Amino acid sequence: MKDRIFAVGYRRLDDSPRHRFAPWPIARTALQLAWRRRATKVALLFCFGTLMVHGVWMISQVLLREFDPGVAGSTEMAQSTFGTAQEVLSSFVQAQFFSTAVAMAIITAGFVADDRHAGAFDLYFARPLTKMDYALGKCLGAGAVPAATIVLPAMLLWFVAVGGIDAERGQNLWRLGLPTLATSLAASTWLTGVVLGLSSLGEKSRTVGATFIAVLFGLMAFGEALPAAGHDWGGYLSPMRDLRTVAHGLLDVGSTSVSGALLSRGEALNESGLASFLALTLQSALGFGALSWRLHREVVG
Amino acid sequence: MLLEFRGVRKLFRGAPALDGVTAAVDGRAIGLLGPNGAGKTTLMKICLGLLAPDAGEATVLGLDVRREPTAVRAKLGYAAEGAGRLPGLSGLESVAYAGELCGLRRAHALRRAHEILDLVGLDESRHRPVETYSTGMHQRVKVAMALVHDPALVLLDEPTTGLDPESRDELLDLIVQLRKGAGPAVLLSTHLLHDVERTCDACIIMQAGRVLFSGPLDALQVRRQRVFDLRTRGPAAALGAWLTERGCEVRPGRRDDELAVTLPADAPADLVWAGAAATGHPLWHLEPQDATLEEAFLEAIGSPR
Repeated sequence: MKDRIFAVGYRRLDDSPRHRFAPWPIARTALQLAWRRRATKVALLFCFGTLMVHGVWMISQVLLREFDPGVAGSTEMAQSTFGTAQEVLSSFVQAQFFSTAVAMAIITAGFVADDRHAGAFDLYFARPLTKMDYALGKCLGAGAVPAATIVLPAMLLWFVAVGGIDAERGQNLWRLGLPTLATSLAASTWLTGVVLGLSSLGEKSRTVGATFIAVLFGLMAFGEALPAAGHDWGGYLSPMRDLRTVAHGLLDVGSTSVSGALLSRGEALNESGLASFLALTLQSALGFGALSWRLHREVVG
Repeated sequence: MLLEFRGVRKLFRGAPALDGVTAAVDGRAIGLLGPNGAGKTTLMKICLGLLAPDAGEATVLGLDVRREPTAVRAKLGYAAEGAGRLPGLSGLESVAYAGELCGLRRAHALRRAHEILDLVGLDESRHRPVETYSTGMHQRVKVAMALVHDPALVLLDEPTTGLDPESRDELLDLIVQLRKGAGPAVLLSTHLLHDVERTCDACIIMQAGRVLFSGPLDALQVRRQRVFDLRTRGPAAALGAWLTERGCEVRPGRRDDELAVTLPADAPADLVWAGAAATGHPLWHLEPQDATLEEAFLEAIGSPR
């Protein structure tokens, strides 16, 4: 049976000015489409698992400090078992960088590629949108993923560390806020920039996702192999090694505990934290540059 | 003036897609008519600022498309010929999204999307993902996406392509409805003359990147009204020679007493009567050719009938 439609006819809208922040619907729609895929939920569950492990680790530390029996050597023993808050935060950002990379390959790889594949550029740019609106919308959408999986949880862990113990003993933990934020933002920016750059170069989300993971592992392999062969500069190619160096530099991670040893293998660092930060920034800038190049190439004005 | 082009040129890899397009048209529904490859889509994309002309100026609704592209696009709706859809979104979401991109608030865009989808006749299938749609449903969604933000002018690029006769009728009826009502003006690009004849009051005829005619449809048909079919008592050869001497174009008819005469632009229709009197061949029959738009179109593009 066919439905019968009764239209009210064409109705003119009033002339009230329409100034909405155009990138917002672009970002929201991109995420809404990604959320409908089962793979997205699985990937986010994976990220949640990483958070849970580090959450338990952080809470264990807090509880041990809170209920310190005061017996001689008990604090040192707790620290050697569960490590420091710095260690948890550094380990979390690094582990979550991996989990989020996989999630980004699934969720955001098609953000620009799918639009190109579907010929949807005309759909956007036949409307009063600028290239900046489009790019900002896609960056907001893609950036929301690492913001939700790395930045916010890292800050949450920090809050747990700070809020879980009395003010006197938590004094030195307060200063970890900004470094935690900076480290997690560096990781998020790298992931967002590189995935959007690759997405703007490709036309199929799966190919882009696979390429993104291959690029990440490729850079990591070179970044570990080259310094081992005596080319120290090669270490800056690896985003993971750069991030580790930045995290260690900013968070001042101390001795490795038993828990830390279980979650990380105590890999090597680059010589300069600043150069590592710049290397991360440069790689993400290349990604954003590719997006900009694509838009300038395909869209007039 | 709705649309104005002055010497617009556009080259693609050295080949001219538009070759000095000059036209000025006004009206509620304008047909952009021409065979495939005439440059219709290129001209539409220039109106939208999606392509920059290599030379010349284009003005849409009084706004220069080069200087104020965003202001122009805010007043235009565009239904592209190709796919132009976001897989995964339903028809309703696609239309609401198009509204949001044009500045409507989310709730408002959703209400408006329902209203416009009712107008274009998309039923409950509006909640299904667009990739499951038939060509007809997809065309309706594209038209709805072009209309949702209430533009001043809507550009429809080959909207009837791939539609069955019933859907095509409904879509053309919608354009007529928009033209007659308070809706936006329409620029309809098509190679189907019938669509223009049925829906438009003015047209631009293009071929090989050039404008062959622009103006009201009536004016196109008037050009043909200077052609007369006549029949005389007895052979018409002498009358034909007399008219030829006076600058008329004379073609013989099926019988020796029949002629088809095209008068020069400045000659009065009385010239035929004068010739009949002068040559002593009374006229049995004289009538202007009832030219169809198709004949006028074919004549404009120089195609043999």
